[in-house]
Amino acid sequence: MPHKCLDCKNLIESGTIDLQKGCPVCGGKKFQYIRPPSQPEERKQTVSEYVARAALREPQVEARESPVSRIPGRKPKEAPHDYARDEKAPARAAEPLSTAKAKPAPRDDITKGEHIESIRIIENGTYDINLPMLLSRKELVMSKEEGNYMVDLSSALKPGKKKRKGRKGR
Amino acid sequence: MALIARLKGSLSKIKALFIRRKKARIGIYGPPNAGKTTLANRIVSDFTGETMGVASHVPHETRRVKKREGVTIRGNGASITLDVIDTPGLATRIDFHDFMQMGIPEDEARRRAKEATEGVIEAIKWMDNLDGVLLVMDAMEDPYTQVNVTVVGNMEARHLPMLIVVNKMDLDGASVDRIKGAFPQHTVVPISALNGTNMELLYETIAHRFG
Repeated sequence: MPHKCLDCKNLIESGTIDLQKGCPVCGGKKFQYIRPPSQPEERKQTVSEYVARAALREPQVEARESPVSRIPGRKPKEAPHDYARDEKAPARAAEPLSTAKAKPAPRDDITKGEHIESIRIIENGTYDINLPMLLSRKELVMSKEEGNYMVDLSSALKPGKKKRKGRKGR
Repeated sequence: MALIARLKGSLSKIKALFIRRKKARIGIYGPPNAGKTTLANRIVSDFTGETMGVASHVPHETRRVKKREGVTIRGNGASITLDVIDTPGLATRIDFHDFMQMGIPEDEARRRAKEATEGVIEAIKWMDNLDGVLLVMDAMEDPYTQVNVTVVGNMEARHLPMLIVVNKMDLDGASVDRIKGAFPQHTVVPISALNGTNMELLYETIAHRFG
């Protein structure tokens, strides 16, 4: 990054300053570091935005840049699953039944290999975290392998934010 | 705040004395194989002649919430119209190996486990839309399970009216007292949903408790 000589305002590229000789133009020895221009959009991106963007990307890009986070640990036995491809199914299954007339969403798609767990335990110390699932619903479902699930009841039983209207009045 | 909460509680009790609810949405909850679907079938068939779902000895036979609206039940002069919600069994651990041991092929067992897990979550989501809960427990089983204790505690925290229905009371080794002792603060009604034992008492209790 460049520095600016405080005496003659000359810009000097980083690494080219000889402190003994000073500024090549005026010989001054006081310099100001010039901060690179910030990129506010990139900096303000939250995890949910990142996941939402990742879900909108083309399938080829998805395959290359998966939003699945991996907790550091030992090397996994199998390649991490790309949860971004599964986002549609769990999001639909997690729709809250907030109204009395609400009908449960069809769940035919879960038979087609989509993952429903929030956290998959690959081995001790190595986990796949399904960020879309974690962000879209409050229930924690852990899985050791496909077909072997653990449901954290206390997280699932937390009441929804919107209480049903009319319960008290009826 | 505490005073307001107490006043609200007192008012709702006084209101309940004079205003009887005529319609209620009741969820049937409990662990797998406790007899929830058998009970739902019994209630619906006793008053409409229809059934709600297929009951089986294989756990997690019901993997989707099923609803039957407008079932008017009568017991000892009292009556109430129920929307009966039959729910998948609540469990903390679902393993496809358990299904394979019952002769189900591996692919089907894995699919069943996945559906059952989704069913647990779906069942819990329905709690936000209920007026009361029938918590079905198996008289043959130890009541001090994580599912029973967690669900009872959660119902209490939600102030959701609840009846504990002890099913399979007619089997050898059944212990209704064990369940009464585990949850002494709740009304416990022992029945046999399969044989229809004590159903009149259950209907009467439902009409009074949820009406």
